[in-house]
Amino acid sequence: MQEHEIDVTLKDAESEKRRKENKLFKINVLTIGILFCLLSLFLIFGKRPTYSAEEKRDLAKCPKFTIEAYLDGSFTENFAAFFNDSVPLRSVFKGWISDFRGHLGIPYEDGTLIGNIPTIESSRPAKPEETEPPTTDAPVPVVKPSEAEMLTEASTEETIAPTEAETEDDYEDADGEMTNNILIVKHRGIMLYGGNYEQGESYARTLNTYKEKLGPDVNVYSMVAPTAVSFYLPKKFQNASASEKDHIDHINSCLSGVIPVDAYSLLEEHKSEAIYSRTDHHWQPLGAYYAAQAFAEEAGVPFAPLSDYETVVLEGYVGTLYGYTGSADIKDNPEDFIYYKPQNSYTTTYYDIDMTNEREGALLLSSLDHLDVSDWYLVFMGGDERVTHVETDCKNGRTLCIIKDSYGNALVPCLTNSFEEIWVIDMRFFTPNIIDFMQEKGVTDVLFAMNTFSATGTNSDDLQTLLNQ
Amino acid sequence: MNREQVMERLTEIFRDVFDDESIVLTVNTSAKDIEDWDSLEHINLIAAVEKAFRMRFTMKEVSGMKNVGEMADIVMARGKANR
Amino acid sequence: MIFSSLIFLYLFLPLCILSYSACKRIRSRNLVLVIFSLLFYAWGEPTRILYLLLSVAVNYLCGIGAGAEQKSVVRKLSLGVSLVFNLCMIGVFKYADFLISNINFIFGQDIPLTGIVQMIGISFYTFQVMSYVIDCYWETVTPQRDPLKFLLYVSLFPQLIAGPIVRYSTIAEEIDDRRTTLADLSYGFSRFVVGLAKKVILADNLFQIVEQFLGNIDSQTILGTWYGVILYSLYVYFDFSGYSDMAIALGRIFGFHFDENFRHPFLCKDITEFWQRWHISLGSFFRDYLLPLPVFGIRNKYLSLGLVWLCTGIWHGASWNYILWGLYYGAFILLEAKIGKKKMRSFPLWARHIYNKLVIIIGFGIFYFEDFKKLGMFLRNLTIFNPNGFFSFAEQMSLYNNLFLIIAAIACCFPLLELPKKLAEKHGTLKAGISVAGTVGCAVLLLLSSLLLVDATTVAFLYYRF
Repeated sequence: MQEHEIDVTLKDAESEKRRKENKLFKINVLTIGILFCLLSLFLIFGKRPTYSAEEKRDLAKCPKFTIEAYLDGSFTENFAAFFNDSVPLRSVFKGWISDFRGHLGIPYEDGTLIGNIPTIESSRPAKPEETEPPTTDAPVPVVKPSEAEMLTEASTEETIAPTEAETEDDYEDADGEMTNNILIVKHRGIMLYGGNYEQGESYARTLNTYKEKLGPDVNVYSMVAPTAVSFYLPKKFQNASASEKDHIDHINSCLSGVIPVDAYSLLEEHKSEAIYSRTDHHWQPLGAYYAAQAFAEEAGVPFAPLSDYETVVLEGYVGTLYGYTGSADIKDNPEDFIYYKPQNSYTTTYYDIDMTNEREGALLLSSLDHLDVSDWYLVFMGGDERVTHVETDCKNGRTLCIIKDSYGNALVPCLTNSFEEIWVIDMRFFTPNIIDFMQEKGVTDVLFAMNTFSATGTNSDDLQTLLNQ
Repeated sequence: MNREQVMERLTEIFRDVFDDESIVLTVNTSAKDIEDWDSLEHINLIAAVEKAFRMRFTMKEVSGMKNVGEMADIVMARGKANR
Repeated sequence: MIFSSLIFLYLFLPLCILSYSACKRIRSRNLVLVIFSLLFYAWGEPTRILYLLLSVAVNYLCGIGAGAEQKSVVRKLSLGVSLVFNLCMIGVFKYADFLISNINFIFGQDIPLTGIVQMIGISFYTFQVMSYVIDCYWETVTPQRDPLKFLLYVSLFPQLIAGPIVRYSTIAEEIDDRRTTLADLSYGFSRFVVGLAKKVILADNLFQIVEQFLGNIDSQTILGTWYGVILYSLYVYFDFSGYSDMAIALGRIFGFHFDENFRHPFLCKDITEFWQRWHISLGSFFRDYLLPLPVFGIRNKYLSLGLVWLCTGIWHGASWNYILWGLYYGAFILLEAKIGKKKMRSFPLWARHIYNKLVIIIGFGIFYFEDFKKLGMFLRNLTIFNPNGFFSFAEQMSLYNNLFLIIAAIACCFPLLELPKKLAEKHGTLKAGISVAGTVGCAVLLLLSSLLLVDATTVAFLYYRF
């Protein structure tokens, strides 16, 4: 009898224990289950964005269902892309993600490194090969047009140190990786520079060819602009980047007949001012102004003081480096974007890159409201993929042709007081033969204006292409 | 051959393969009981047993053998005394 | 579709679980699982379903034939057909171009490549059906006569594309009859979240660092090379074991009990033990079906060992570095077998740990570099022959920038989750608290992982140009 009782209490205790256990299981299952349901409902019924401002692209759209699309797999793939890509409140979440990523560790010497450190050529070549004639059959990496846009930067960095055996495969790998080697120190993103002396020499040789073809009556200038890394890289990280100064000097030593423009020294004098964006990979218009000043002095043309310009200050600028690095430090510390409107009278005409579709326009966009904050640098001519012609009231008979990357864009408004006509050509997009074009337009001065990344990277190969197309 | 003879011979083989004179086999002895008897040494053991009894184990038998008893059963069914 | 994507987590999985629980009978439940599994497998490339179904059909018939009580001719023939068919499948869909390019290289031929893209999951499900037919032939399992059930065994989506390799005998009974208890559901949910977090929080973030360092191996410093490859080892572990965790957890949610695939491999004391803890389902497959195979008609442990490790290498991928990787491990296991267990144990524990970690870490370097030239640079850069110096600021900076991530990753190599379990067993009163804390922890991990998945499609730098 007694034994039986003990048995019963044991059973009771057992079932009590099980009941408790089940309760805990229930709590667990319900919590996670409900979380799954809520997130499902949010993702299925939440309002989906269609555009990402940080990444500058349309988000994936919901594909239409057709039997063919299903059978070739494109429907499912695109649907998954749509579902994963256009998450409701995406940009909010991305802000959270960058905050989280910022807490995976601690800053080192106040800095964070995003991406690879570049390969730096340890020694510069002893002697520039001055006698070597410009070659037109230099191996130019093939860039597919659709990728060209994305590549402009990646290629400059990835081909920094081409080893002898660099194959096409390596090159293909390069654009897949999109190496983003940016150091973030004290709210500032700094692109680390690798440099490639050979590529710089090739740039110089190409410019020499331009000079030869254009003849003695046309002045050809080379202005290779340094980037923020030259002036704002803390000492601690000096060996993380090659010296832009060395590369610029090396290029200049290879020029013959082409007049080098020393923007570096003037920029260095003013480095305590906001001449480079902290949050963007471009310089600030003020930096471009000093560079233009250096050029105007070299070219012997008038140059207007800053006081002649109307200053426009835009607050809350967070440039491209946020979308690129996802760094909370950049996102949370916007800067001012300050640009200068020339006050003399001039007219601006735009053409498509093949010199068709002529239309009048404004040199500086009148309103940036339709632009994303990170795009404010587009204020100059609205971007790169066009040809710009400026006619000014400066009647000195000189016609300037600027061949440039996007660093050159900010120079243009600084030179409306200096030349009678200015043609602005982006070396990556222009399709006619450049020499014919310049001779037809009666160009008296040619300025090559680009930063070190372009001049010592594959962008400079486009200069060769311009001659031959 | 009776089971006793087989077990006796198997014990010799085991002692030889595992280089351990202290091994005493029972029908229940399995890989757990002999430290060096892992899947790799198993292959050599099987080879030695096959040689001693002039027989072949099938792959199923090699793979599925659970203890010495099973091994002895197979040997008794198909093995030939070598002496 | 992969588990660690929003569409799987918040569309596919909820629909699947809801449909599954709406059905009460086992047959309709099996049907739901089959339909969802096929949908899962067809995602992105519906034609591969046909090859899966072909494989299922052939092996279904061969299984019945191999297990039949008829003449042994039928059984042998069925086994033979199945083996040839499966090896051809895997040969064509995984190794065709590898073979052709090697033949071209060796014989100077110019056979055009087929361009066949490796079919996802084929290495896993082909091995499963092979083990099934062999088991039928050996009569260790009864052939499955219901085609739907057999299809379920092969296509079951939790284990379809990245394992573990589930033996038919493991789930044979559960295919016929199974229930999901509340405990199963709770275990399944929690473990799934843990696996997801391992993949999304640890592995994916680690991989970004790995790419920074191993991606430009030619200019890497000694320290940078070691740092990169150590993190890569951690990455592979969390990536793969996280996926296995999710697979096992999903199985449990639907009432299946799969075997473990990883048991804290980095705690191993020697290389032999490493492979008893790493990708267990593959190791046991080779142990059961390949090791007993007499090589050239001879039973010899060294020959068998060589064969097993050659196949282990080949299985991992159609590239020579994987083969080298397999043979590399084979060599160390051979070495340990030669030394003997007792002698191995006589070495001090710290020395054994240093030895096996070194072998494992360098092994993962071999695993990483498919290009032999880069692999050569990697091996050189590990040593003092590295021309790029001992270290640069980059390693130090990366270590600082990712300190918590790396600490967490190393900590998670240990059986951390055993601690609260043991604590709860010891102190009954703490049980409720620990369980609730676990629930909260899982909820946080789920939210965090989901958040990070929003970033999965981020396209850095489309507009980035001068």
